[in-house]
Amino acid sequence: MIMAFLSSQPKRSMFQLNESDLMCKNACGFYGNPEWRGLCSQCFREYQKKAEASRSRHPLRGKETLTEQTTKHQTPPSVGSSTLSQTVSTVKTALSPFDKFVSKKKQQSERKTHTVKSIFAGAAPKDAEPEHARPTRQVSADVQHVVREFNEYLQTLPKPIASDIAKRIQTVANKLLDYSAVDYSIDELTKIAGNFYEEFSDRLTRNELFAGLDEASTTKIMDYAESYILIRSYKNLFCPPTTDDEDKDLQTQKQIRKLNWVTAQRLGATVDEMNPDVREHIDLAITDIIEIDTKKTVDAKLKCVVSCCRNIAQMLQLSGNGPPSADQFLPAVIYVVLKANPPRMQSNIKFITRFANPNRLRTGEAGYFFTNLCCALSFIESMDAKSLEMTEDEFQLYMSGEISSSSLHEQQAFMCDGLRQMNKNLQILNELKQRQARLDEKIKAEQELMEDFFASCMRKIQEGREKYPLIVKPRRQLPVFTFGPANNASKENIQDSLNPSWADS
Amino acid sequence: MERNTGGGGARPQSAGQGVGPSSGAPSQMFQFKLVLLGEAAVGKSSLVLRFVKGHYYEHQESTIGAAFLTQSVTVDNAIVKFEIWDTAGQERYHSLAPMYYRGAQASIIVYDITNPESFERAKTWVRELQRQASPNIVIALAGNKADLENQRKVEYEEGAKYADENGLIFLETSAKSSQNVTDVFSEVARKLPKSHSPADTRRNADAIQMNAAGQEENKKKCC
Repeated sequence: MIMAFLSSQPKRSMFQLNESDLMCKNACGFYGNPEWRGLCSQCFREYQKKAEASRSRHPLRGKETLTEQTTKHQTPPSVGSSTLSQTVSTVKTALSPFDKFVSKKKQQSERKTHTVKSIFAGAAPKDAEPEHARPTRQVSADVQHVVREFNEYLQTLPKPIASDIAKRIQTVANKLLDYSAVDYSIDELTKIAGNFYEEFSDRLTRNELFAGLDEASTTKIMDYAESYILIRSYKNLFCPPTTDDEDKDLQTQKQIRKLNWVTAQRLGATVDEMNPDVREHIDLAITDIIEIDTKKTVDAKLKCVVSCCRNIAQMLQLSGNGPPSADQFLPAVIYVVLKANPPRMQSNIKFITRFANPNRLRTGEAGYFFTNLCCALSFIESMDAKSLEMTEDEFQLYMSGEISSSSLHEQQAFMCDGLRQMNKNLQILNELKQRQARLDEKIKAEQELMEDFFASCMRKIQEGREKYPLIVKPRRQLPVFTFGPANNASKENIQDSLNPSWADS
Repeated sequence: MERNTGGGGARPQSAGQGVGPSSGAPSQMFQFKLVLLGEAAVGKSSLVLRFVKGHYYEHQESTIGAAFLTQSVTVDNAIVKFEIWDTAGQERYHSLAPMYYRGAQASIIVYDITNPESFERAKTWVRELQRQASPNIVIALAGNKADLENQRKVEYEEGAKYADENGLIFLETSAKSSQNVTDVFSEVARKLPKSHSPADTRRNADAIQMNAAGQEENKKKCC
């Protein structure tokens, strides 16, 4: 009975709760129906009417925004198809992020083939096309930033110089943008950029117009020019669908994942990973190397490389090998790349080697560090038993994951923050213990000193006492004065001696 | 493009900027890329540190690293600024070396006089550079650790003879006692072309071509 009552209690309360929910959501006083979105028949009919009206307006608006996004290099006739593929991709997003990625990729290449077709269709629309496309282009924040900076810099230069530079850079930027949009081969695009750098820097050094500029300004102009022309067509130049960069990226990532057992020691670098400071620099280096992919200009990418390598150098220095030499440095870079498994590394490196001003990569600190990074990646790609100085069988066993190195566990454990903290605390505790021991020792020493002092004091007192013993001598008998005739006689004697004796004179 | 690097384009600059003795008179400044080759642990980095910082490795060293450093020397009233690229000497990294010496105008190949193997390695480096590097590259051979005379395994004459046959600069150095350290760099600086006459523009062209070839190689190698 009681059980039944208890169990019926929640049921009833739930039912009551439902009852209040049964009312129409519009609060018109009638009952609603879940099938009509909780509305009563009257209210639902009105709701439907409204929805229909808005739906007839919406699709149009939706199409407009979508086309804006996708017509970057699109000729007007193919707008319809691009919106279609866009909707297809949005349907697919529900499936998985990978499907979305694939469809996007497809869509990208579809779009390109469309434009190629339209170009073959007639020469006239080709010329008109970029003019149409450019105004509708969505300008990303990165582009705006670069353009703003460049413009600000140009304003500091004399007018004729600024306008000449702007004109030339604009021309080549547009050329690169148009060519890259129509599937020109990547080598040709590289050549366009390379020729531009060569001609432009030649012009800067030889043309009389620029005679007043010093070394620093010309370098700056070159850097800005590079950033500007590349960022305008970054999407087409970075990991373009005409190349197999993307496959290579995936391949490298897989390879690095397989090589997770490789330690710094195996590569020939001494990295003291138990040192928290060293650990911190490794983390910073890893962050820097991963950040390369988020930057959109060669300059920013190279800055990440430099920062990463500086952290590596510092890390090596802290590991206690003195100033790091290249014998240590390159292995450490390889190790950091393996630990970081940076996204789209191949694409990034290729983007830089293809389109950066070649002068930058051959000299200077950035050039040196970038070369090291290229070497590291090249080494990782071709890593085999010989390059790790181990037997083929052993290498295969490691690669297949059948054996794992014992230090791997330690490393991974060290990757965990909690464990790292624990290690740090243990270290601190150890230090405290040592200090405590030192303190104890000192206290003991101090105590001994005190005891010694006390003993020596006692000894001295003893000696003193022995040397100068306290002898209590018997009391001497004091003369006893008696009063009487004898006394008088002496008094007289004194008086006699005091008084001048007349008799003598 | 090549102004400050490729062919050593001249930039008037006051001599005070260089580390070498300032003559007071305005001298020209040239910049060259110098690559250090040699087996691991022959003392490449110590040599550079001695040259750049003027002292042998000490524990309180606070530099960022010896892998990439720059230093200038003054020869014949011109300042020569070296951009020194150190390389990893281990055998397994040997195949990556072309990426470093690409576009280098000078190279110092270091071996250890107490280690005959390192001398053999140095010889292979010489052959490789003569075959693959820029044709005008100035090569110096340095027998390091000359302070360890009692452990010497490679005779002075041996090194000198080899260098002579191959047209190399040869000096025995000691990073520890700083014997001949600056000299080896000065010798290289003296031998590097320091004119920007027609010959220079040709060198410029070389440098650009070389770079194009280098890019090709880079694509094959690392990407």
